[in-house]
Amino acid sequence: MSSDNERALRQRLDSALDTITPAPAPVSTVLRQGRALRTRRQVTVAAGLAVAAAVAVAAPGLVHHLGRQAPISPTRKPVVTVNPIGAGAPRGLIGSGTINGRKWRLIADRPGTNGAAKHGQCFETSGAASGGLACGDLLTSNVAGGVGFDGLGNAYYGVPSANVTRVTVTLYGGTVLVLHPVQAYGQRYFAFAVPPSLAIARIVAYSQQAELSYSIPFHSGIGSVVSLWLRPGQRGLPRAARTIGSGTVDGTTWSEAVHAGPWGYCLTGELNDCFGTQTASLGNRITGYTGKGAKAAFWTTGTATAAVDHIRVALSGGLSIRVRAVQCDGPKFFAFAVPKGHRVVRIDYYSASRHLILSQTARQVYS
Amino acid sequence: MDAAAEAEFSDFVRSRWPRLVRLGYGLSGDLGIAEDLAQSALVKAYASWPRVHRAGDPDAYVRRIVVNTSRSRFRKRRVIEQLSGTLPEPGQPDLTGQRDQRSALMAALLSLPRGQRAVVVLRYWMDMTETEVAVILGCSVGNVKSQASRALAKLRVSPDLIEGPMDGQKVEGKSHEQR
Repeated sequence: MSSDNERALRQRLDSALDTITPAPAPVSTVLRQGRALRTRRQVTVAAGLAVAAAVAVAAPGLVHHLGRQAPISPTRKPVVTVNPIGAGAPRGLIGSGTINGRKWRLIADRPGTNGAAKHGQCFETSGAASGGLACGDLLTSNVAGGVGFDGLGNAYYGVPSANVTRVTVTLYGGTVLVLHPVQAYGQRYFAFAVPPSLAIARIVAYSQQAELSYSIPFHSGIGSVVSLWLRPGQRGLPRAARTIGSGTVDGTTWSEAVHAGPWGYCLTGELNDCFGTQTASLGNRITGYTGKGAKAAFWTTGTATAAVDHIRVALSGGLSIRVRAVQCDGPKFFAFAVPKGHRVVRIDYYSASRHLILSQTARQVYS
Repeated sequence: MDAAAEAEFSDFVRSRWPRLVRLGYGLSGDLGIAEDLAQSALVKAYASWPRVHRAGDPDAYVRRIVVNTSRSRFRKRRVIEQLSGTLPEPGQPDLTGQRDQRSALMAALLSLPRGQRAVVVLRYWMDMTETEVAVILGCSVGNVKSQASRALAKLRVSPDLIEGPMDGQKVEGKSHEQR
């Protein structure tokens, strides 16, 4: 089809559709129905916390991002409850309960709706003033995530495998939540919520007969991340932490650290990611980047194999940065900041003897 | 939502309403359904307005809902159609011929599979990039390209458009009958 034909089609569409005269905008009806829908959902949206969980299914390479959220005051011990979901519950309601007497609910949207991708699903919290929503590719990856809401708490949801009949969540302080999967949209879910400041000590998935798997989440102070599931009796990585990069860029002081432990490897700093794996090497690759705008400074994190000693980052304008690869338990990690006005041209991985191991162009790295 | 946000949302509804209805019409070929699609998208946008607003592109959000709702509507369509024993009111005569042209184009559009139709409307009427269309439809850019290519090939030889082919040329060997 030639561009002439495309232009002709555009013209015909314009003349056909632009001549449609709709009725006046039903503003009051939209507002009324919107209020009713919001009340029905009791949705609250807040600063988001995205966390991840997988029950009975370890998800290697799973990466999740932590949002920033002010923790509630830990001056008194939070009281957290989870209610059983009854048969007459609204469709999509997968969890409800209270945090310090304030009610929360977590509602699963119909898969593929409300802004979710084709195979994705959105989850919405409710209970306070304005709430949160998180969407993910839940249906295909069998992983789970979480949603923050209103500073009150972080709601966590999971999709258990078929043989899971019960999930227990032990919080620091000794509270144990017992959850039973509920059905919605032909899938089973479990959900719970805890205050951001309250760490989750352990999550265990059980079948009718026995424990199937357990997870020890990573707690960053603003919420817990569930990224790795272990078999009963399996020991996770020993706990360790290393700074993998720090400095000042455009007047901003930054620092990135990696924390190894039974959760796998989690980064904190500019990029808050977790790698739900215990492997000794995560390869030579960029794992994430973030910035505060197209023309602002941005940060990049990556992993390197044992043979890599340092990374040289070639920037536009003839600049280059030399970054040391820092070992934490098995894998090596690195982080660097790019000043505003510059872009990455190439990243080269070198051994201690300055032998070039791998060279990647910016297109390969950031595409 | 406070009063200021509600006023802002009301302005959003008024300003976006015609274009959303037209998008719905392009996808459904029915003005009533188009208005329903636009209205339900805006209702959902209201319910999630703080998040939608924060995301920075409320237009993309409501467009996506219109498209997705339109697609799910087709799955239910069979059961909501009702037969009537009385004829509907006669329409007004179209002195400009505009409605005939529109009908021909809509008939051709409606003959396309709904995925291809969505690509045509988003790509060639809304002037969205292939990447933007891919995001809304939840598919790859390559898929958008192939859908667009197939759709354009079908439209080019569509009997509904033969009387006024897109490039001004008649297509040989095709029936001119209206379906």
